[in-house]
Amino acid sequence: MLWVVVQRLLVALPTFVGITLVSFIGIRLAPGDPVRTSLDPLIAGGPDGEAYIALRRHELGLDQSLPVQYLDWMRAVLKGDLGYSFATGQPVSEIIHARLGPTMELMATALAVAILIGVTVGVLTAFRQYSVFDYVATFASLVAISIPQFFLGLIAIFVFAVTLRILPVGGMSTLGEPPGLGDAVAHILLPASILGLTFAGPFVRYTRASVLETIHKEYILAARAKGLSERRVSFRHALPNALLPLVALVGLQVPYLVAGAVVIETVFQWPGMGQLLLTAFQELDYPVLSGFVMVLALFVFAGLLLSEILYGVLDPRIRRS
Amino acid sequence: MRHSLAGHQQGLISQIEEPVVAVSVSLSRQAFARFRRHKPALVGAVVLLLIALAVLVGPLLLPYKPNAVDLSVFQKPPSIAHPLGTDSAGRDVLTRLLAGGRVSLAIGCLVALISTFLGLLLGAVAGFYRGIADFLTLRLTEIILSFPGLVAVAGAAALFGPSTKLLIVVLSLFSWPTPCLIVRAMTLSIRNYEYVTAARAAGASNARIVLFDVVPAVLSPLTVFATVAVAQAILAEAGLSFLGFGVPPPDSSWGNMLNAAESIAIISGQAWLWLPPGLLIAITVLSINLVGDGLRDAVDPRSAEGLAGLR
Amino acid sequence: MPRQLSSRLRTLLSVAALVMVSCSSTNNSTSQTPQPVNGGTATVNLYQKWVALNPFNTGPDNVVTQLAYEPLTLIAGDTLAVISRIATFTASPDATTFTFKLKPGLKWSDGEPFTSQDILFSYNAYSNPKISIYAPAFKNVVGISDFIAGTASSPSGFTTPDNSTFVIKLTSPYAPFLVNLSSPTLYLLPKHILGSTPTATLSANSNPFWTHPVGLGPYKIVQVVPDQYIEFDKNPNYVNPVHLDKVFVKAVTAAAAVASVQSGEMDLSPVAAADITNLKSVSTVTTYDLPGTSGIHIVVNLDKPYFQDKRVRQAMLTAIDRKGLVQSVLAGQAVLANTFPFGPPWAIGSDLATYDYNAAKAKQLLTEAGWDFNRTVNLDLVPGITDRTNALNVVVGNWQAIGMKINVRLIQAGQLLGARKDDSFDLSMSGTAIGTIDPDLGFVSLQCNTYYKDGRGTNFANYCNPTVDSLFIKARETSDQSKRAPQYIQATKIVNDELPYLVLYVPKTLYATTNRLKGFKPNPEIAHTFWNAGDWYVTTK
Repeated sequence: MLWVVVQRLLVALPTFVGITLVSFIGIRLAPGDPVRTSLDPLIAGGPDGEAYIALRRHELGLDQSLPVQYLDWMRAVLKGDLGYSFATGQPVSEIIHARLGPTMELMATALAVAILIGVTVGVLTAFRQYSVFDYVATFASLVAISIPQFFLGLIAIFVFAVTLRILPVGGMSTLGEPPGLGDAVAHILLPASILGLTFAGPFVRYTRASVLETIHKEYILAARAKGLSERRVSFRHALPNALLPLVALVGLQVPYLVAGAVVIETVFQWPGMGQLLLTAFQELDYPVLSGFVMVLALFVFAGLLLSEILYGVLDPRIRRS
Repeated sequence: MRHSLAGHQQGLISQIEEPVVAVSVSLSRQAFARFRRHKPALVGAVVLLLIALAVLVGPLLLPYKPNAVDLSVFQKPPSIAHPLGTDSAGRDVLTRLLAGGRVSLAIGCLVALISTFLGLLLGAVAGFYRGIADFLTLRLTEIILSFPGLVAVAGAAALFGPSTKLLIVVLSLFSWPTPCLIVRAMTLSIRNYEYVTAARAAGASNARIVLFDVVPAVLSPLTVFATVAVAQAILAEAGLSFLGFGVPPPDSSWGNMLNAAESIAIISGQAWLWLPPGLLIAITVLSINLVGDGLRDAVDPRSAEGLAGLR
Repeated sequence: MPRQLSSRLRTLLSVAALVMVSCSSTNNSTSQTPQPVNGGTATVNLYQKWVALNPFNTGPDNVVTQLAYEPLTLIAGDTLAVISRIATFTASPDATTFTFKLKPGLKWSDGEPFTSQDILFSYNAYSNPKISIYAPAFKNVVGISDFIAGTASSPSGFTTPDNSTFVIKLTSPYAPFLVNLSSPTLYLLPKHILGSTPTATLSANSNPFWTHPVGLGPYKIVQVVPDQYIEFDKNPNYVNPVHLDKVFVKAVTAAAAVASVQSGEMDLSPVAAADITNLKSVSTVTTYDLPGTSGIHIVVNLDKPYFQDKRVRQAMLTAIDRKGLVQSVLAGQAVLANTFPFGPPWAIGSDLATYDYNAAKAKQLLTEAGWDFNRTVNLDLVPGITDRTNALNVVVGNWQAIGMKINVRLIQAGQLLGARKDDSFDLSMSGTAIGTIDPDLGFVSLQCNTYYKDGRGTNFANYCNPTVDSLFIKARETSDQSKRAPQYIQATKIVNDELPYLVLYVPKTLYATTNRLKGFKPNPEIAHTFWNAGDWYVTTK
């Protein structure tokens, strides 16, 4: 199994390089200039302005050719240096570190909620196929993936924050107050629930289909024929096999862990990666964007690795090969 | 885009693991009959037809032009003259809703068509010819699938300036990997079957084989994909336009009509501005998903519902 | 339809409106006139996210730094006059020499004494075009060319006769100099800390001083949480007594800001016209509105042959229902202007053409001028401000109604300049950015031979009228306002006829605060929101 994993990793290496190269070049090909973006047009437009802009561009290394810029950047990254933001001058690694935490907190909570709801409801509906509960749950999960997230978010803000005033309008915490669990929960409640509900939709459907498929398989019939109890059949035989593909599925969601909640983050002013990226795109903050891509690529790599290992652990067929 | 991508990985994985499905799949009369029995799918199809009709014909029948400004009826609630009220430039909301529907649905259909076609082309080439073409295509799909779709499209719009054309191009760019992987998996399994070997022995060119053997086989799962891709694209457009990176003003789309709802004043005071487009998106996407469900069950008799239906 | 008020009466009213303290504050709950209370925390919103807290940056950085630093001169929000809190100043009658006498006993926030050496140091930095984008404000200072060339370490026009006096001498009379010095704000920097920093690092965003500065402002920075908030404590060494203990600054979207002020989580924010009507009826909120100093206009590229007939520009302006726009889209929170520059009131004549909305007349004018109705023209806008996008929708709708073909291009802020140099530039909608504190500020947009397309200046419309030029230059020569006024009145009348810039509206500046925040005096320029932050106090903790 180890060899399979290593093989897979080697194959993923060109992908890794590809991700960084494509985004590095793609971003810089776009029209616009990071230095001009941050300057007042009237002040920067004059003849002095052009000289000033040229100076700043030189400082930031923007007047060099693309390949040179890419290599310089890669060299620095391998030393662990992600560069400094054009906009704020802060080290990119610090900026991303500060933003990654909130996003992962939000996504992890949402995913936990989604998996909990999704798997529970999915398994229940599979075992109670064609019941009223099944139809209602299936329909509800379909609705959950059909409504735009931000639509729900805005309604939620209006109802809970503005009208009822029981939950805050946005942000991660109340300023000036010492950090507390209650405060943190109040702030994460709405965004995580909405995200979680929309994720739960496909999880329910997927778990349901997977469980249904599994319980009709021969080895289940064999186990039943052996006289094993329904519960044993379900939990020891059906469930692990049904949930196996879910592992691969979760592994594939890694990119979203890093920056998938852009819209919700905007609606709830959640200080996460999504907002950082949108701002960085608008400000043409190349180092931040490249740094993000690097982090993303690493996460994808790690996610791939993790799901390969998990898959190997859970599926005896692979373990034995 | 996030949740629907998950849905496709679901279909994708089962396809990769059990390619034998390909043989028994077809858009046969049987499949059609199964679809007809799936009541929710029928309801969805009917609703979709009604919506399509409304957006195609509606703007022609209504007296207002979608961008025509009339400041004397600024932000008025629904009335006889304006059944859904007017917006912040005195434009008729109903007309804009239907005209915007054209844009949103067009974006959805175009993205689905383009990405399906691209996916078919590249997937067939990759699966059939293998070797370096396969390697490159696979790496390309992995690179693209590694990016969180919405952020990437928003980024492109931020960098190049938002426009409908850009939206369609970039959304298609991030959607084609999924059908490509589906087609590739099927092509891989098909190319080894006897009838293909026989065809080769008879002297048929690769292109012929691809066209006459691969394409019919993948048509069904691709149809399912394309259907749900329309829903994905509509939701993506809504989110992007809401953020300001989608369809630019003054033209309307369902998504950018919701952009008005960023203000608390509008949410609480002028529900006619944002509820109709939001509801219409939800109903349209729901109907598409229902139809997609029906199609999935109709073409894949191994699926849970299908199996139960055979019992 | 009521006839318009006679132009005399209108001028009188607009003068009254603009010159007097015409901000109206509607407090919707009963309150006594409280005495300033010491203590408490205020949370305020910045209109846009700060970049690096670097005073060398324009934009939001220049706004939030007002809390930690003090400039030598600034524009007062209530009187719109140039004032100084740390010095008294005089201008020579021939408008060439400006003398500042510092108040005694002033200290930096770290306790070190503040002297005119600090002013010299700061202005040496700000007048250096290699590191400072504000350098053009100093281009008339004696000895500036030697300084820029590097042969002098400081312009000879800056002198410090003693530790509490600072004198600036100009090569030629320039009455508006003090306004140039005050907007954008030039914050004073401590020589005893930054004096040994190499100039290149001094103005860079990465200078670590910015996040832990020593300044003369009413507050000190305690901590900066990137992209979330900045925490300030009161500065006991400030020139005037400070009441608040702490201030938090955040930068959130307009929608979040409005919701936060309503719920009490935030004490102060600039707001948009669409929100002010709602907020006026909320009992826990106080709203402020006052006439703004910068407007929204459409720049017409006069380099294009099809725009060169002035009837085309006049038609385009006549086709827009500007009154309707202000009343509906902007909820009445704006005034109209018909020339450029459009203020201050003493510089604008009373007999300007008003280009009232008349679609038929506009179409007729266009046809007479030989407009090709099959031609599509580009209209550029930097998106992001709801009011402007709504205004754009009205403008495009109105123009399409008279048969013009418009292609809207949304561009990023960083591309705005590039777009105006491009061949495809026809029309560009943006803020005027010149303010109306002094009419001379508008000259850079009108001056012959400073066309933006050649990279020679910021005359974005590529406009030229030598008569207008000579009038503006003549008006610089004296500090006496009564002598300057006739030149401007004549010049703006010409521009009113030729319309290189189509001014759509001049928005009122709107703020909303919670009732507990007192002492806040609104400033018509959002860039100076915090101008009197040292006087703020809160009535509840």
